[in-house]
Amino acid sequence: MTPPILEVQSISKTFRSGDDLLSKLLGKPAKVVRAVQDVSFKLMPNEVLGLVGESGCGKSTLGRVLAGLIPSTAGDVLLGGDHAASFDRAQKRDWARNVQMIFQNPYASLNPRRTIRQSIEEPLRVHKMVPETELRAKADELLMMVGLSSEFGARLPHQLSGGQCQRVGIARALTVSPKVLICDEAVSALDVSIQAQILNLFADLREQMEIAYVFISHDLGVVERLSDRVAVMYLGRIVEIGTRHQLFGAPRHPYTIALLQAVPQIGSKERTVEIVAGERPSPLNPPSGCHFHPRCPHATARCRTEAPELKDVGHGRYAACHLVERDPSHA
Amino acid sequence: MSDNGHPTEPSPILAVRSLSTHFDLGHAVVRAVDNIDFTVGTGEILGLVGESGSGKTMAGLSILGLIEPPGRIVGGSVLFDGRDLTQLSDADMRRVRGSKICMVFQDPLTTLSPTMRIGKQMRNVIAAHQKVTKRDARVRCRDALGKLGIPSPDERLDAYPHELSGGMRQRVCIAMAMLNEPNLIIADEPTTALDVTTQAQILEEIKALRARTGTAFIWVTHDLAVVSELADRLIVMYSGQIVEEGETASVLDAPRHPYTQGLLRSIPAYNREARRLPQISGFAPIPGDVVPGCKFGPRCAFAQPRCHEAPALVSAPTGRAVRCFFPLDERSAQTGTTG
Repeated sequence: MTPPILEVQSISKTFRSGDDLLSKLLGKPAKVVRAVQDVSFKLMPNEVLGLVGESGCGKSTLGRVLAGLIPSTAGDVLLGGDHAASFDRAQKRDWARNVQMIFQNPYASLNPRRTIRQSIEEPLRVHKMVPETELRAKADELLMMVGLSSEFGARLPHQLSGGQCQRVGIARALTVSPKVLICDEAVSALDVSIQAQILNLFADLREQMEIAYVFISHDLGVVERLSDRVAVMYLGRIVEIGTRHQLFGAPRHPYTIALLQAVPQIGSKERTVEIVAGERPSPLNPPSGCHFHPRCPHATARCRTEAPELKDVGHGRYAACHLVERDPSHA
Repeated sequence: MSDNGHPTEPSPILAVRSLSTHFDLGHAVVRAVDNIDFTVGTGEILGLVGESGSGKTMAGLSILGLIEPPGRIVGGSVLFDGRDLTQLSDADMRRVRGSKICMVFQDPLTTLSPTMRIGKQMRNVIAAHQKVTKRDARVRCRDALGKLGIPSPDERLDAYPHELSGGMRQRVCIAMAMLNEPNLIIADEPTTALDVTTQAQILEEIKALRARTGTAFIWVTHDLAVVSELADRLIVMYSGQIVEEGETASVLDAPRHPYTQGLLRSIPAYNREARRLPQISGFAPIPGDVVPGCKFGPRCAFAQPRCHEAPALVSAPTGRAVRCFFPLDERSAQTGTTG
């Protein structure tokens, strides 16, 4: 069996605020946000893993840990089977090259004073991807790959539309021939007609370059479109992970069910199902036991005290819920 | 809630007639709102849909006289309550705004003052239009919050905006808009920044409020699915113009304008099985660029030589209207291809 290209083992990321000297002198306790708690999964080469959840669920933090932009508090990331914790400088550089990130706001990731070509040539030069003489040709090739003509190279970011700018962001991520692209809400800011163009581009690149994706989005329709497998996060934990068909076709975790039901649909005027009640609790002060229990219509006494483990519920699907039993039907 | 001299449409609460708002940038004139006509009935929810730059927000702001220079309403009228709002003095307009017609914006933090308690801000909204004692105002504010499903509304009145979640802040803004029992609320992308579970709750609350109070809404959004769940009627804008209009379900089931069809097909959830998403080719015209003829022509898969002329918005007796020389009939709307 092929080894996973990227694996996370029990990753946790904790942010502390109010941890300064003044607060200590005043005896105020530090506030702790457990943005990501004990998350594990594997990403296979050329696979697309969707990561969905509402704001504050830790999906972006997890993406940043995967890209090596911020260190994890506990647990480890494995790249091609090697533990990132023991990486030396050169290996960390390889990590940065192999795992590239694409952000929501394409203007913010480009230097407004540099031409598009300069922005694309820089990573090529830094990582010595091509000889100096071939920089220009390579930059043009990359622009072509994302559907822009080479004349865009001479332009500045403000002369581009949002969709064109996002294409440049993608071209720049591709300069270093990454194995994994982490897309953090990469199409969320785009109009739906432009969004369709970029989603098609992601699908094409996946076929041409055999890249694996971690596709982070709050938009379930977008995630369903691209993903092979999907992980649903709630307040820092993965509550359900399975294939796209399992999750969208027959969700098992009550939160996944609630999330899918809340998505507005074209052609459904009346809701037949109850909308999940209440608000997402603050990550500063998450509920005891299962984080979802205050909003869950099925919660029992056990859910209030004991946090459920993410357990195998059959057919390669995992869910973190005391009430979800292993599916005994056909294997 | 008057019905002044428009016998063709029973009791429209608002009638926008040939409204145009232009921005003169010196080197170019941007026709942000380009000769639009529509009405809103009493208690109706009208969805105003378009992509960025389509003029949907500017249309909403023009109704309320909130266009800032270099923008200017250059023609047309906004008939409301027997008067043309474009002709009112600033003082008269202020009496309409916040009382008869209210606006809810996308970001509640730009509406709410960060340094004032919720209760005081809400009381100011009432006091701006009528005499009211602190006590009565507090009761009304509390009731307004309660109607939007805000738990323990009394405590919220004493809270500052930063102490509330995004969903709660937006509920406060909607409650504020409802305080003076307006006839019409213009809501500009009010749920776009919210989580889907919160959005679903607010959409349900809006439907309940409308049923109870008879307040009409113009719901400005880019999200066709939200409009599908909420709106009675739908207007699609492109490049400052209305390109399609009609009863929501009928437009979404069988769009007649190629742009509406293209928009619907670009939605990922609408095309689960297609290997590639059908996409509209090209980009929307840059504001200020003059596109002769049909503005959508350069991107349209069905364009013909005649599309170099400008099509008019043609209404059918069914209440459907479309701005296209070659509107899609119901069959080709289902089987035709774009992009």
